[in-house]
Amino acid sequence: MYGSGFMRARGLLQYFYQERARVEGCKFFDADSMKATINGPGCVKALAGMVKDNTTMPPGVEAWGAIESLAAFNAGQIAMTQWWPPVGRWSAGYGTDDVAMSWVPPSVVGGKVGYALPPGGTPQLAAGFSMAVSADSANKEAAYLYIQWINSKEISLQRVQLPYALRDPFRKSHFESASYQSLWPDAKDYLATLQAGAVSGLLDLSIINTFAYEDALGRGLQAVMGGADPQESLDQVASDWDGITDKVGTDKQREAYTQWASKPNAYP
Amino acid sequence: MTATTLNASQRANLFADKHFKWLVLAPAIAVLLFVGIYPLIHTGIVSFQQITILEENTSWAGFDNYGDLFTDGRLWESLGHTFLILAIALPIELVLGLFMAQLFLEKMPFKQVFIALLIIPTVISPIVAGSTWRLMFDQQYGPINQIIGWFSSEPVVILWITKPEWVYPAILICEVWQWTPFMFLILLAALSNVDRSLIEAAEIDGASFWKIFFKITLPVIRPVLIIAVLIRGLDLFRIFDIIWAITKGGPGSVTETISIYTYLKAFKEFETSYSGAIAFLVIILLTVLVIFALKRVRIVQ
Repeated sequence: MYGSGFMRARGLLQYFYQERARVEGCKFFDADSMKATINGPGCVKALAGMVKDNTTMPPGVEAWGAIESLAAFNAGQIAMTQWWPPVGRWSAGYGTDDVAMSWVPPSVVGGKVGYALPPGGTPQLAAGFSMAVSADSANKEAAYLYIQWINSKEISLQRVQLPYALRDPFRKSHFESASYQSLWPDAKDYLATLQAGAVSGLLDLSIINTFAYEDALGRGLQAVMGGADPQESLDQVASDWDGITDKVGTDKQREAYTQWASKPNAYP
Repeated sequence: MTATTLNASQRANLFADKHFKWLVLAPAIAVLLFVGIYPLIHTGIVSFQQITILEENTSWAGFDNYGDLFTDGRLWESLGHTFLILAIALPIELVLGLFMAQLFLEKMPFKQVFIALLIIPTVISPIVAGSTWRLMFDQQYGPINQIIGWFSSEPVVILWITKPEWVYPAILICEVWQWTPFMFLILLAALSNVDRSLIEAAEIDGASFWKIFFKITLPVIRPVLIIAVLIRGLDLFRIFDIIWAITKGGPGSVTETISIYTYLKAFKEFETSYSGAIAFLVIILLTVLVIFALKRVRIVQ
């Protein structure tokens, strides 16, 4: 059995990294000059720590995506993982007997699972789902009423308890629901942890052309997982980010970044 | 009979007879123009504009996008990766294919069955082949490391899809596995056309295997061999699926080929005009290479 097993695959790794880096004091940009500071000391420390963590994980973890870590956790091969909320209920065995959930690897660790926020207490995977009415909708009023109904206290509580809906609890009443808390022995702890994460959860970076920044970061981090030096890789990422900012326009991007950074939980 | 004495039906028949080949070719030409020439022209136009996901002003950019090509280090690295894969995979596929074809020239039981089995990889979609090999190389679930472990009598940890020193061997194994049978099949057909009596006569005269191969066999199969090499060379130049399935161009950008880089620029970053310029660079490079190759082997004549 290994100590842990986290997602390290390209496209996912950068989100876990950004969470940990921000906990270590890393800032993405200098708000005045808009120069990338993703290669600062806190950022490098976080990445070096992640590489070190790999030694506690199964060989080959550097290529793990969501399913590999879920399968290993449910199979009892790793003691700890970091995942979206469903891993908490699936590993407990709730809902996985539904035919629609047959793709979820069976759990042998039900009854032995505890829940906690990651170090720093500011998870980045606490994001929710959104519903919106299209401006081109032929029936905006009905669409809005439907959203209102489906998110109402009673209906939404039924929805978040559906094993196959992939819908995590999101209303205060969900976290405090006696029926949800009784679904499995540790469900109360699960809900309490999710509620704490919902309050302290960090925002995903959201500026102009975020994809390009995330992609450059993902490439740099993956190179480190392949053996490259964290400082050198993050220097390259910072250089790539500066190039993207130049293309977007420094003033335009500064405005977008300032707006994003001023929101609660952009940084811990 | 003069045209003035023909009725309308006869005139139509005469026209059809006279222009039959064009009538038959017309639909194909129309499709070719629509799906080939129009996108080419449109891409050319777009490459001189400044269309991106962000840019509201999409007016003419002159040669800006083409100028950017020269300072884009990642682009030239991806071209280097492409040529590296081509330079290694193509000779291996050619030599292995030729060797297998030579082997299958001899009489053997169940020959047709073996040939049918051998060409199975070529009918598999490359993305499926890549995904399957990715699983095969997986440290936890894949059999490759387990098999190597049997021979080394201890557990083996080779991170085929993560470590830069192993990703190219992984890609090349998959590529050679899938496309060597293509070479084999074409070269088998070519070798079957070599006059056996010439070879037998040379053997009676005491010529060695290599002498027979270079003096008799190779000249006969040369045109087919060159076409096979050209087809595979062009295929390798645009290699995408296998690498995308195995590494997605990583770790970092170590296995990014020109196709992957163009895809990322065009459909992930939506640098539409710049990716148009890359596409034209590739067209120019390939055209020069193909013309050079064809002239060298005098197939054009």
